[in-house]
Amino acid sequence: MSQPLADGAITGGRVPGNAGIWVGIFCVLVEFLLLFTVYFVAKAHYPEAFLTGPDKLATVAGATITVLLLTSGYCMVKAVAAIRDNRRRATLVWILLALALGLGYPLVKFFEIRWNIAHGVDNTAGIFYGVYYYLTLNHLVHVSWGILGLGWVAVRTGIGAYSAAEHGGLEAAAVYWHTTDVIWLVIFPFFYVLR
Amino acid sequence: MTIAAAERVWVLLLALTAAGALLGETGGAGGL
Repeated sequence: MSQPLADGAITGGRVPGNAGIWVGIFCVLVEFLLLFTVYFVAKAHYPEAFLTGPDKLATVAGATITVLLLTSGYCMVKAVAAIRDNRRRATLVWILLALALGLGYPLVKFFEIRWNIAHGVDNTAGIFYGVYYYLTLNHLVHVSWGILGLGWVAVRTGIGAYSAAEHGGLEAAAVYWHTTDVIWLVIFPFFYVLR
Repeated sequence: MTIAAAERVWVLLLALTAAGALLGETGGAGGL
């Protein structure tokens, strides 16, 4: 198991990952809290735009991204479980699966934006789409960091850096990946479902 | 969380995603 945040600081449990990743996760959550506040302020001022806005978005793209992220996150759960059993090969397979599914996100996003532009949904299409692009592209940036993190822990797993006794780095990548997943689970209904 | 619990959460969220996609396509979530 990975080390606690500080010697003697934790007596009743264990914090997964490491201190640095939780500082980062806190910052990401605060950032998106602000962005979601922007969403609600804009929605309060332009209710009509938010009532009709989702009609022009490709629901299937949002749903596909949701399924990709959920399933990729599940693969990381299996990866962490595998390393806790010292099954390094299985760990690597699960991470690579998570990575492959995660890479589907920018791919779907590319086709979604191309489809949007073909249907007149660009940055001049109105307030709803401005907020949509701002939030979803910001999320894409954070997912890109997560993808890099998954690639990094895949390499580390491949060279035998993790074991049942020490896999804090792998846990850190997993909890960050789950964080991007949770944030998307708010973005999806806000922009693709709710009116 | 056990793997079994994680699998239940995964399936539940997939089902909610499908329901959300259906609502999004039909505009059935209007007024929420």
